[in-house]
Amino acid sequence: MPVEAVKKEKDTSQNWVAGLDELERTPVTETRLGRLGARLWSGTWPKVLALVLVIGSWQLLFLSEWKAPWVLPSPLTVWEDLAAYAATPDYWQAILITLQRALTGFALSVLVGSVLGIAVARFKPLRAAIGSLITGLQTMPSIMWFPLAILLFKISESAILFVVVLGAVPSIANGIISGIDYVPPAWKRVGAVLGMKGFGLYRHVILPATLPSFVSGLKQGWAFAWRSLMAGELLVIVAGQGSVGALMQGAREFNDAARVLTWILTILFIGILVDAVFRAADDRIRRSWGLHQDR
Amino acid sequence: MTTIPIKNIGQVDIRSVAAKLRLDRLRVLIGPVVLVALWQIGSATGLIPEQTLAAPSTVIAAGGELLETGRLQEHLLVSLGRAAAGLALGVGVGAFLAVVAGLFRLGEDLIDGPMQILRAIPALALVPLAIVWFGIGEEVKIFLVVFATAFPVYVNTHAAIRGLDPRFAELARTAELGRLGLVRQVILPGALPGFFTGLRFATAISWLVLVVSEQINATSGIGFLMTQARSFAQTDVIVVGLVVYGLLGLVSDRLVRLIEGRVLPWRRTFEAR
Amino acid sequence: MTQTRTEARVADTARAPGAVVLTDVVKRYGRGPGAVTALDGVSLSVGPGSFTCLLGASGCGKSTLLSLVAGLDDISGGAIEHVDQPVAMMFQESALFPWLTVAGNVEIALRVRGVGRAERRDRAQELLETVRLTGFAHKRPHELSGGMRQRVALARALAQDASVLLMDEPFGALDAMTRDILHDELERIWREQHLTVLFVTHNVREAVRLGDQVVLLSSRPGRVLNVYDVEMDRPRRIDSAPVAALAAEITDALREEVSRHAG
Repeated sequence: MPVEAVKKEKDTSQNWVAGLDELERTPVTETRLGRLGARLWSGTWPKVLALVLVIGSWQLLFLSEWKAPWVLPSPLTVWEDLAAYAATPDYWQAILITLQRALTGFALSVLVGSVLGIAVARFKPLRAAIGSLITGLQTMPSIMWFPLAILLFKISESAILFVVVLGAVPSIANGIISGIDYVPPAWKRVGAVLGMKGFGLYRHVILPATLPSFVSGLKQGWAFAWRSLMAGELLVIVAGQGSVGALMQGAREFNDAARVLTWILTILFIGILVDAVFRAADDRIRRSWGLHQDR
Repeated sequence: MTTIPIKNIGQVDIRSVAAKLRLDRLRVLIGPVVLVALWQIGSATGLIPEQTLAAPSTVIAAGGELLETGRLQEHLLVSLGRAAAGLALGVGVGAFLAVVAGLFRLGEDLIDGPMQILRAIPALALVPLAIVWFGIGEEVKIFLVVFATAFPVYVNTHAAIRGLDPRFAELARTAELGRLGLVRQVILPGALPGFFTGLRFATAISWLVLVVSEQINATSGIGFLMTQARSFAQTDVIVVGLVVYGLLGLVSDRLVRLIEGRVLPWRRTFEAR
Repeated sequence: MTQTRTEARVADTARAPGAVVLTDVVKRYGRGPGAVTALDGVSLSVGPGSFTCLLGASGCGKSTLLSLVAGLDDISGGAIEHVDQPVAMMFQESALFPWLTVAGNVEIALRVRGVGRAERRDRAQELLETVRLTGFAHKRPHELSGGMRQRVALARALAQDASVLLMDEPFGALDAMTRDILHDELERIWREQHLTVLFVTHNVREAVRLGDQVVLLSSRPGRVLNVYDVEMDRPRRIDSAPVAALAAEITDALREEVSRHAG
């Protein structure tokens, strides 16, 4: 074949490949900025509407005089209380104590849950022994352990921490276990073909593949930890520690409904904030993995 | 609510799965049995002091005594009544809201947002408010159970309705089912799997809420029994209470699964988690 | 006498890099009366730099055969010889890792072998150029089309620097047009890189389009029924008359084999 012909043939095949690549890719119809703006807008307005609805029905309930105003204060009263209270160090101190407990407990749970999850997924005898126990624990509310925790640790930080960890560990461990169990066999086969063994396979394939399941385990684990903590702070009041739960109980004893609602709003806000963080992490992974479905 | 986003591409051999299930049933017992054995040994050797944690044998004896005197049954009945009343109301409210939000565009706008916001409040954080509102009567406990159980039912049922394949609706349209027919034949059956998932969460949560509210202010119920035991440092009675709660949780979960299996036979294979 | 001569020849070919020689390979699953024989005495000689297509209906154990050559599974009897141990392999599903970029997916093969960071990057770049995906290094797998993903998988396999490339129905899930292009691409890369390719397919025309020899396997258990030498000039077109003619001949043989299993 003459050189010219070879060159020409090569060029056409190159164009053919490039052309098909271009056609097969999904076209981007909107500009990035426009899409972001639209997304922000469509993500925000239902939330605003929801907030208006919640506060509106609260106000209506207040106006209907279903309960006396000191038992069910109006949104405005609670807002004023919140604003005044947020100016005092007590408020922030309490949040700090509670968040510190939550984070310590959660961090400990992540550590224990991850190690436990990997161990159970990896060693058959261990799975046989405690695999089902973990699932059982997950369905069994951790609060049930409070009496036991108080016996073991007396009324102390440790008792609260114990219950928080017990609440979160099963979810986190289960997230890892099911993640490892459901690693697509094709990925493991590719790992084997590439010459990965033992630890290498775990590091390069199995653990990264577990990520989405791990994150949803974390999310659920946090929900349990946060709930357990709230219950714990209401049940176990450690002397001298003005945590959110303790102050809320205090307000209840003084029949200060506005203050109780202030705390509930605060808890609500923290909950929504943390949920948003997990949601963002989850979203990011799904997006970059291409698991994202348009809702 | 754990969704595992990765599809399992592996092939499933039905026979080996069946064999594994039967084996799993026996295996379930290994962990607890070993744990109880260790616990008994620990207590017998004095590693676990009696005032910290009673030995299994003592616990069984205490349980027997509570049964004989009828105290356990008495408190159990009270707790069961509260759980059932709260659960029935909560599940009803949750399911109703989910269907309304799932069927009507306006319902969706009005209900879903507020539900998503309120969901972020742990039910137990409402305990102080509930006491301020309702005092310390029966209302408090039932209110809390209703509040706590409505959300899981709502969220899962709503998600199931939203997640229905739109092709079903198209199919229904070509089959000339009509709007009511569409709801009855397609949407409600489609929502059932989600509803049952929510119901399972709800039953578990109802016990959790009850434990706490019964421990805070009650003169009856298993939670009260445990609180009372705590003040007298009767570790055996506390453990009996824990076991009873655990069993209740387990039994109610099995019960819901059983009903689910009857109502939705096609789901049995998927739910073998 | 014949036996020793065959062995001598076998030993000779196996010493050349890139050659694969299978002698009486047997693969059984399970034990006792319930055992299933997947492969029963498969002998095959693949010369260095050749392109061999393995063809057969379902249940002929062609994928099993590749797993055995790759060393992913143990043989129950016979011998498989090839000089350089690690062989590269590609599957029907691209199985790219979604947490890595396109370049990262190619680099991972180098990383496992302990290649340094800078060299990894250069080599991955080079390989992506080979499969004509230069501009896509920083994309994620899900942003590519199926054909492009298979080319990334090919680049990853090439990164193993093995002289033998095993392909298990790599284009099975692609549409006809994309497959056509990938045939050209694979042929070009095979020639440029002097690879030995073992290519499993159930598409007869594809086998004739690509192979130097087409090995027809029987089903349950898998045995070599026939080996067809394809003596046509390259590049071939899948829709050309000589390809169609030979494909028809092989299809007839395949139908006969499949009919044997009826009733």
